[in-house]
Amino acid sequence: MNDGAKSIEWVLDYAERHGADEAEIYYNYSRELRVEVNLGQVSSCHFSDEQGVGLRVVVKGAVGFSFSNSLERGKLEEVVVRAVKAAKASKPDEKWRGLPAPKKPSTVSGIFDKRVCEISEEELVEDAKTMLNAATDYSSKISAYWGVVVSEWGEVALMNTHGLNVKAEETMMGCALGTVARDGDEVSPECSEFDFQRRRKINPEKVGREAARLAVESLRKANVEQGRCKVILFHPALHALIGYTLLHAVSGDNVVRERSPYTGKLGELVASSMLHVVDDGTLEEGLNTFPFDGEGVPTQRKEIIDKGVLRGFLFDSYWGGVAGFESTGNAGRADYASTPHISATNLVVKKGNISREELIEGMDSGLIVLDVQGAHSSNPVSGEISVVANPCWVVKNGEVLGAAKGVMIADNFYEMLKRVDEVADDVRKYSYLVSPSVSFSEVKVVTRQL
Amino acid sequence: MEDELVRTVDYGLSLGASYVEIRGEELMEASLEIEDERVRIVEQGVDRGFSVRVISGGAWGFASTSSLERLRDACRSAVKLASAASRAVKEKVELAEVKTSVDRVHVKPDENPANVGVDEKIEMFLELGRAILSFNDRIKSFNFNYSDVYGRKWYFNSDGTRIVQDVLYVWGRAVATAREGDVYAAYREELGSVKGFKVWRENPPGELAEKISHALLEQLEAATPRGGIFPVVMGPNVTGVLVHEAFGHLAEADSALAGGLLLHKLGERVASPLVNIFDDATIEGGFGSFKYDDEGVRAQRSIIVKEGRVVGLMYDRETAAKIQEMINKHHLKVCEGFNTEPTGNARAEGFRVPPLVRMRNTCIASGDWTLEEMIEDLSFGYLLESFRGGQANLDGTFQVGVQKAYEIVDGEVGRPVRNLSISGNTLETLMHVDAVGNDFKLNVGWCGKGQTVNVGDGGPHIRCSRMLVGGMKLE
Repeated sequence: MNDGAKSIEWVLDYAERHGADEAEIYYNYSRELRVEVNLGQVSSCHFSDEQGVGLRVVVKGAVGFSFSNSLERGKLEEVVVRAVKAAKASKPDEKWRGLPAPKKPSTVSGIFDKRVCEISEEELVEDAKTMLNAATDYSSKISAYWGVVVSEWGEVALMNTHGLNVKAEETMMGCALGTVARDGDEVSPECSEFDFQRRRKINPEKVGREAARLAVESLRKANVEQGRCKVILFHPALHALIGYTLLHAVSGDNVVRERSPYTGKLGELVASSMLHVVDDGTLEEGLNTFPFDGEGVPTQRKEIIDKGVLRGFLFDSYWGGVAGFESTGNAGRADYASTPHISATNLVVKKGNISREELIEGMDSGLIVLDVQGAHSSNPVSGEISVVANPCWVVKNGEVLGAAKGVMIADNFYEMLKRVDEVADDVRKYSYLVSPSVSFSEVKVVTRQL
Repeated sequence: MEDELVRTVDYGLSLGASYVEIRGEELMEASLEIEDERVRIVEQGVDRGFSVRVISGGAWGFASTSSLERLRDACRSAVKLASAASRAVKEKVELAEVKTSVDRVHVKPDENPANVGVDEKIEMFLELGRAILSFNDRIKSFNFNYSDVYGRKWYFNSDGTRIVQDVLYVWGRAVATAREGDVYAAYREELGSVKGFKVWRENPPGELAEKISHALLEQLEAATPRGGIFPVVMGPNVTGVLVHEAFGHLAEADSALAGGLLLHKLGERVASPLVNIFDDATIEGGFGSFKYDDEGVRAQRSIIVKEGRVVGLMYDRETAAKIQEMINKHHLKVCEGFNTEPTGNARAEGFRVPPLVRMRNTCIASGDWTLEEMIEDLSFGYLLESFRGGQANLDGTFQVGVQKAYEIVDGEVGRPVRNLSISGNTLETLMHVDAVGNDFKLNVGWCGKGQTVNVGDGGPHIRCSRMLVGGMKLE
């Protein structure tokens, strides 16, 4: 472990002496080695390592924050002065319940692998070459527009004036490649594939080949009719749509502030009985698994939707307190320079028991959607979405006919959740979402062909 | 400190690098967040650091550090990383020649945000929230994010360019929601300036609150759109996001070179002859304006589309050299006068990351139609005045969500429409532009491409004869 965290405890006392009722210091060390594919070749290698602290202070329930990437005593004293000044300039908040009291962090496994820290730039360059070659060898129609192989090592320590004092470290290694295929004047949509793991076990060859296969498969054309049809969403499409709708709806702050359609609906049926969703900050080898959250509260596993019934929300300590619940360990934090916000840890959609291939073979007529464009323009309160499905493949009688361009899904995502009719077993993990492909019936589709 | 930057550039060359550049930053940042009538958090911080980027063995190496004392280590590390990457590189990285510059660029703020008290900012934005929430009881929530940055950037390279440039921006975004029965509405308003805090004096809370509240309540009353193909008239706010998302990303030279739609259309007709597109870092007050980019290249106004024809792309030094080389080797055909000089589009989010080809202020130039003329001969269509978000793909497919739209019926602006979005293929859509307005407005925005940078976009009202409208109601 890096020893930077040891020398900062004095900051808490210093903050109290300078007028803070409570204080919390978050220390973060991060080291990243990455190799990039640019302009179709492996041509660039980057390294960064940085440590810094973020200080939250509370004065009469008003919160001030400041940060520094220098741990020199003089700089940290300035951090205290700035944070206290910010809190004093703010407004008292009578709903403030205090920073969290110390609790034992959760026991988690599989989030640190020493071999990831030890990997050299030469090895990452080799992985990047393997990934790129696998794509360009697949077809001469392929060009790679972007790619990365990355190894990361991070350490977090968190202390507050109530005696909370926790620390942990983590690693991550990943690779991703984005390709397009070109045939004459015809250009496929961007198709990317990825593999992110806590341990050193990524498969760059498979990622490269699969990214290329998806792009080549998108060149063959097929038509689709406007109307309602069955739609299978792959992980990237689910990641985008859930991220801009369901995550908003189950965030405790939105629920309390009545910005969620799920306000007051605990225990009610909000989705198909096929759908089972948990948020699990302790998931083995989960990419967001950690012993504690961005406020030092132990992470946990909690049911969100069980057989379609709404069972729980995500809370940090503030909104948990306001709602009369405890924090669920969902105060997320990006780095030392950012403040905690409610966020999902690993949102896990429970897998079904049929394969992706069986799911497609069993489809009379419908669409397979790899990704969507425009999910961020969804209405998170109403759930209304109007996104382009791209790449999008047309299926008839269990057979993939080809890709369709200009297909829009214009529906309501919260209503679509009630029409989940099948869940495959092809679980993928990336960022917050751990999910297999999911099939929805009767999805409203608008097309450009007339 | 500047002497140390010069010494480190020389040190990099002595280690065998053929090119060395150092970027430094010292920025004072302030931000605050408001939820309804509560100040969630107030933040003040200083961000400082340096990075070294080198070319060695024909490949890039990059390393960053937060301390000047470790700059030489970072330089050594960058050279070592470049040699690791050089084993994989097939075509050595070359940079286009540019004129070297030695300059100090000072910004004189109209009102320095660092001199406006945090308490004054808080009071101003709380007042905005109170005014919106008390406007009507159907308005349910208010969220506000504010940030300002004031400081300095350093850019030194081994060609002899040495630039010290002030950095300043002020930005804020309000999002409010309303509800009536099962109808939910959300509306966003964003303001920003690279000149100083005055933008908030010119848009006082009372006026902003009225604008946002009216737009929200209008959505609650609004009809849902018909899905299908219709003529649309886009206002400057939607024109801006369309030209940025749908066209601008394709005209970033790295996207074009990566196999994007424009690569084999350089010099060709890609839009209606009414369409002229430019990307300009010199627009006074534009949110994406600056004097030198993050490769020390003097930024300028770059013409990308002239009367419907592609006459240039947006470049950094590497992509400019690459395009020129492809033309020289006859791998690419372009028209007479096609620009391949670096345009000053290399931008980095901060010292921690190397620059990428990014937009600045991307616009469609004005034409000579009035809005009334564009609308009067439409029997049915949509008027799109403000966007919610947009996204494009290298194959030319784009999507833009619209938060403020109206029906056009029998030549007149009709009832409001909510949750509408448009989609299409960029080139088909630009070919169908059949009227370009005589007005012009520039918007404030952010662009994400792995890194986030401040940009401007805009133009006049334009009309497109065929556009796919994604509506909840199927025809």
